[in-house]
Amino acid sequence: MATYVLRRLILIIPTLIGMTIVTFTIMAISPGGISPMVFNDTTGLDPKLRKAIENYVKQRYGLDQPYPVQYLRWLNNISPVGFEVDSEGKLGSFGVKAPDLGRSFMRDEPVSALIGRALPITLTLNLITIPIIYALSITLGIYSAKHHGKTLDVVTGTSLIALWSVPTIVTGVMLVGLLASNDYLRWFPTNGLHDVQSSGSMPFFPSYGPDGWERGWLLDSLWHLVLPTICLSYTGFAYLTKLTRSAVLENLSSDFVRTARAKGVGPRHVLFRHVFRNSLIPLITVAAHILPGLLAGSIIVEYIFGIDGMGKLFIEAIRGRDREVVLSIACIGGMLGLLSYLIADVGYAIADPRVSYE
Amino acid sequence: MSNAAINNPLEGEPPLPEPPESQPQQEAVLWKGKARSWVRQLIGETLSRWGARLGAIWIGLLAFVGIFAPLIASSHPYIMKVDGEVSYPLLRFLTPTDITLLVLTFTGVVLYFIKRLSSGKRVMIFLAVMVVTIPLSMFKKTPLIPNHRQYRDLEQAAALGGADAPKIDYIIRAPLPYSPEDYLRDRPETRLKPPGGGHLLGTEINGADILSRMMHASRTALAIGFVSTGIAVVIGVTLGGLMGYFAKAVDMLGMRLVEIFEAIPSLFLILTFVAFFGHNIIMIMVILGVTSWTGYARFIRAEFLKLRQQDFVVAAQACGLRSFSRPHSASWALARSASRVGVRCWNRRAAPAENSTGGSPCSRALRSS
Repeated sequence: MATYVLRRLILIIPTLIGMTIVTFTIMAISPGGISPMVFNDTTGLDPKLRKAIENYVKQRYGLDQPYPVQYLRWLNNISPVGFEVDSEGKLGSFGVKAPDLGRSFMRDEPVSALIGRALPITLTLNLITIPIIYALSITLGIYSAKHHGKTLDVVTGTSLIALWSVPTIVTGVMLVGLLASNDYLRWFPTNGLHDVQSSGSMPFFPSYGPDGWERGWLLDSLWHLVLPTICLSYTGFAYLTKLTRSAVLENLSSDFVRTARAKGVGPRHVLFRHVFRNSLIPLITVAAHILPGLLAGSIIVEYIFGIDGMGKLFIEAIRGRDREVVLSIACIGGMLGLLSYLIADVGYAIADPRVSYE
Repeated sequence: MSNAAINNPLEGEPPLPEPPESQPQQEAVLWKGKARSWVRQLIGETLSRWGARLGAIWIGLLAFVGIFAPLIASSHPYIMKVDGEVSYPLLRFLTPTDITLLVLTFTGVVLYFIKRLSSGKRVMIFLAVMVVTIPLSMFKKTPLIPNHRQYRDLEQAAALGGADAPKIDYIIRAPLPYSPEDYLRDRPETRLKPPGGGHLLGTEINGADILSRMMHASRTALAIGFVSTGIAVVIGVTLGGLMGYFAKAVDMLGMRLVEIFEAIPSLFLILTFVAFFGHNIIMIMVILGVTSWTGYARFIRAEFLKLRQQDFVVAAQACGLRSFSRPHSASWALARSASRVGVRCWNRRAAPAENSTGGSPCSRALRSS
């Protein structure tokens, strides 16, 4: 097992390199070079000056060098083992160093700072949404398998499929329009994750102060999170519920369950110890994707609710051909994806003793 | 002695169809006294469930609307006689795509009802018609800037009367007399209106009829779905099969390729290609196909690796058939696992609500066979 894990971990490295080469190549061949947005405020300038600024930017980010050199430089920067690079771009000694994600062309900020700002927001949303989806769908899946063919099963199956088929973009706009808009109910805020007016001075818990009732930071955040959470979660139930249901059903009709029942094992015990444990394999495959999923922001939801999460950061970087940001996010996402596959494969071996990697 | 004959007694499989790819009909089973081909049986089993039936009806409806959209929703009349002159404006404005689709649909329907020909011949005829129609339809010239309002203007002028008013004998319009690009320039007051007044679903912000636009859009929607999924299945099954068949180094390299493709941001790829080739719908279909094959490849590979471990393959290897039995069982496995995938994809796609007893009766039968 340990050798297997080690081998897989080593294999991640060439895959990551291949992945970044492909992404880098696509960015390099994309027409227009680096973003025209970088030169936005130079439009009124004399062409000569403009050219000089362009040359300066290119030199500053190393864009005047051939693509392979640019790629190798980026790779050296991002890898934890490599050459030290000083401020003038000279290579220093070889050794272990801190990985550097580079600087964003568009915002002239370190990529790590940009990600550091966007990631907590996306993580908050995902850490609320994903447990809701998993808890509800696995429970619903088990119960609809137990009562399969009855009203509960049919109703949950149909309604979850119905929910799944409504596009998020429609739901988001409808929710904002009906529940949050000033013209209608105004139950929820239209955008953002915090109240803009009273940020900073707000106490954490709800309190009763001299100005009357105050919501407090916690309640305010939850209040802002309701609509985005609904949008992010409602489409996720159908697939996971179906998966749990079919896995549990397959095991419910198997021989060992009949044997357990014949021995006189209680129905709850049969369901959760014998059936559910054996139905874990397909769930592990899906659960492994939580890891990269935590990082991925939903572009649609973030745009509708004006949340500055990872999705928005990524799409804006793509639009502006902000190479360092795109490459960093693709690289981190890819690495988490590869790790999640490894975790899934190890999970199979733990859940099912018949699986072995010897 | 063929390898099949060696494999069979070892495993107790039913007789294998000799080249399994070329003669799928050999797997026909007796059903209500009538032999049905395996594909037909599969479709029958799937369509026996109401969820699948609803899905099939819906897709059929979409396809019908998509194919006949220019006949159902168009500003151009089928036929009109003005000042004693008969003209067919709709025919003039049919695009090469419209003509190809209509001709192929007609051929397909006619061929379906000619039971005398074998299915192979029918497919050949269909392909021949397709090969002939597509280049021929390219010769059709369509006016670049269609004037949608001219017919309404004509009618209005005739209604007003006067000395030089046109005389309309008859004018036969489509059931929905609005083209998707007909922005009703002559009626600026109808922009962004709720349903009513001849517009069953209302009008959009430019004044075009929404129902008409949806009908024409269903063609694009279906085309993207079918073409991109088709490309993905072809690439995925081929690469997955190769990976599962050769295993070892090929498998390792292949899996790395799969992982690389899973990590490429396809949105970025699409944006890049759009920048290169413009808003080309075919390009988008191809990119969607090329970036979404990894799931199929993983699935087929797993199926193959499972088959490799099965007793009959191991036994055949033990019999000394190392070099020969593998290709054979693999080709057989390709047909079988591809069909199995077919069952699963069909189940999943046509009836997501239905998977009650772990697959359709058909796939259960397959598993137990």
